[in-house]
Amino acid sequence: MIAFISKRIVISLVLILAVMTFSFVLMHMAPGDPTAMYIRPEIAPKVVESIRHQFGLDQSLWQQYVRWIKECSQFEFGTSFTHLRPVRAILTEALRNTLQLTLIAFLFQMVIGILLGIYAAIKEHSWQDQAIQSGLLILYSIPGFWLALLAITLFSLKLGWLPSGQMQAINTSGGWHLWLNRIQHMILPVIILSMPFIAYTARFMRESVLRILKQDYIRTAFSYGLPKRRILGRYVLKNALMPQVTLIGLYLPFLFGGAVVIEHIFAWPGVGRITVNAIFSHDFPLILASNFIATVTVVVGNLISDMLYAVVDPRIRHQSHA
Amino acid sequence: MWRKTFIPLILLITLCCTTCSQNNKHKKYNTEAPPSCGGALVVGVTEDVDSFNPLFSESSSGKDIIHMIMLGLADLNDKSDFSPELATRWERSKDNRQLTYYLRPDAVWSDGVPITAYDVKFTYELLKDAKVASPNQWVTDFIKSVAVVDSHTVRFTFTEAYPDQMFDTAGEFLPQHILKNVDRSAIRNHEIGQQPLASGPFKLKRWVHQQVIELEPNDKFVDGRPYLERVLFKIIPDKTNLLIQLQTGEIDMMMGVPPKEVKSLQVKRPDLKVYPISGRVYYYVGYNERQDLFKLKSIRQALTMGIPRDRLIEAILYGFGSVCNGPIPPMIEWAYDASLKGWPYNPEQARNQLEKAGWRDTDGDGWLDKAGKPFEFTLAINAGNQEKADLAVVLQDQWKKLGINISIESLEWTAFLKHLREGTFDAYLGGWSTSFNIDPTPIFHSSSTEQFNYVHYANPAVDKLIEQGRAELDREKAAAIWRKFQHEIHEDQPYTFLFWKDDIVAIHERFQSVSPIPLSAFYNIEKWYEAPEM
Repeated sequence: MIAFISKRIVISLVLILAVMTFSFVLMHMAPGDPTAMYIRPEIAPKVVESIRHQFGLDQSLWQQYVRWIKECSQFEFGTSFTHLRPVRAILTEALRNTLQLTLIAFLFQMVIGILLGIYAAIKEHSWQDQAIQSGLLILYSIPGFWLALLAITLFSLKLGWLPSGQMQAINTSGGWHLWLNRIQHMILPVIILSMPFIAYTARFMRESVLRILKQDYIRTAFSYGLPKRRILGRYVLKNALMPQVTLIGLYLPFLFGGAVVIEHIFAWPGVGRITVNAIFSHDFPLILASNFIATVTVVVGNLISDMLYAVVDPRIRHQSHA
Repeated sequence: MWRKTFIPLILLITLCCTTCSQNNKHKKYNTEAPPSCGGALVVGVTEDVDSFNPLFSESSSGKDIIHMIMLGLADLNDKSDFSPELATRWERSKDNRQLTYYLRPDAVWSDGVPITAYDVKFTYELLKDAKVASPNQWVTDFIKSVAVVDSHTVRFTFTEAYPDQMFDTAGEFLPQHILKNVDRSAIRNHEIGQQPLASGPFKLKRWVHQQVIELEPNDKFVDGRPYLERVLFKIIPDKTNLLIQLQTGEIDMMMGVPPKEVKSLQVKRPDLKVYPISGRVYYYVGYNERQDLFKLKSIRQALTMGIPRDRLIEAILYGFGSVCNGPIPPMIEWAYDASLKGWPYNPEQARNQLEKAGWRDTDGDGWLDKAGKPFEFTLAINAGNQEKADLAVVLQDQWKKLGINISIESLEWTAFLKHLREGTFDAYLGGWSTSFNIDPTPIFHSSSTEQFNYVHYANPAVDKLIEQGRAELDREKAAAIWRKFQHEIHEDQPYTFLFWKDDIVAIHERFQSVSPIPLSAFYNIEKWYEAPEM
């Protein structure tokens, strides 16, 4: 077991280094320069050169790479070229905001998706099943930005029920008012963000429940005359939920990467929005740090899930010994 | 389970929705009431501030806010003249190589430390220092030295006499007592950029990054407190959402309203006042004069005459703009030549001029040709600008009517710039933002082909006029020179000048004394006040 975990940790570290190196090289190969915004008639080329020097862009690529690896190993990511603040502070704030949105959206979509999936499976081939299936297909197909703008137009502009953006009203003070206000601001982005995932989870859950309903032991339970509610709750649901756990690993990049489009439209100050802006302005330290965090999150997430599998499933442990 | 889960959820959503419902009924305001203190102005902006340090701020919202929290020695007014700010007066030496400012003795920073001439001198030392690497270093190009005569008198000495001395010296400056011991290369990221000291009517109260910036009155402001109690900048990156917030009343003011939205906005929200501010940005087509195709000015004139520019303003800008005939903007009234009649839309004359140059449709295929070669070229545009993309299609269609075949090439910004610098383009669609000081050197002087004279335009007469205009201190004489310059440029048509684009500002009618000018939408904000409801 220890050998298995050690091997996985070494592979993960190599993977992180490889991805970091690849993203560093790719970013420097891409067209564009962080000093492009300073190219205008009144700014002399020598001034642009001194800005490049201050950003450390006049060093060789190798020197820049070594400096960056050093900074990353200490979780210091330098200073943003465009925000003129430490990258660590920028990303900490943004990550907190993103997690607030994505975790709630994640829980929301899991609950709604699972319930819809179970209901559709129980009512297989009925009109309810057909309606849910068609509805989910529509939800999955509609682009998020369009749905977001539609929702803002309807609920904010026409009905005036919900705010159209940001995390809270600019003049709300603390206490329960603040919390209520934050919930109001969260309703639209959470629902819009969850839509495609609800469809995904519900369809996955429906198939899972249907597969289990056809198992011999369930048929046996029915033939023994056990109550339907008990069979569904105790035997079907428990087993159908197990595959959903594996899906959580797939959601990890989404949780940390944020939802770029939704954050942009709803003015949610999260990682996605910050990173996209950084890409447009060639803010190298910020892009690389975002990449680093995303890479570490995914790799560590997979490492943990591998370890858990090894704990749960002895076959994996034995395979690694072999 | 269903009941336990959904009923509380539905109740919660209903509660949230009902408390959020807004009342947008058209209220009436007593605009005759005398100004009084109070009220909050909420401004919607699409980008956060990068820094409040005037040496480094590049964001437009940053520049706007810096103007509210920091004063310079003098500033341009609505008549394009300088008005005193922290200097009470100024005087020039007889040879016009020295400019002395006399600072107000009663002005203090928001931390209570007096504002002195040492602050001014220190700021210009920073600007000049390559270690600081300020993008505004160019303002020191002609400054030889800055001397403190006494604590409230500062004297600039210049390498030459030129008319823009005040543009280069009267701007905002930094507090020396905060920055004097800071390593010069670390000033860019110093916390003064995050927590600035104020010398203007407002000071920074809070800055929640990417969300909101709140200003409050600066109680140490030398001219007393402004009327508004708070000015809030709400950061909404999506312009559609910004417009919706303007309609729902979540914001009171928006700059850069898209022209096509103005009409519907005025119908939906009649309580919003819309101010089209005379444009500082002009759009043009630049022709690469290194290519034989564009060497003759008669060809460039013909290309201009093939474009109905007044109709472009209707089609692309919905009327919010004016025809551009040269690089000097109408806002600089003293130098702008309003009598200059631009090239009219005249396809017939354009065809004649092209024919005289040897371009005619010899094979009857609808396209002009000369010595077996068709008249065709590529128009480069930068990707991501819908306005330019639309414009390029219209130009393509118009030139097609003359028998000229153009293809449009949309390039990523850096690739676009690379093509321009290396001269690997036929023609390009560009836009220049102009300022109040006139200096066409980097764009039209023949010595600037390594800079921004991408089209390699060269006319010795124009070079001479630019040099004379830049050196002439007498405004009337300078005006005559700049008029000649505009005529020369108009005749040569190195560019097809298309239009000046208005900047459209919308603001709620309850705010009074609002008078946006091309220099700033927030002009005289210390005098703005909220009218009471009737």
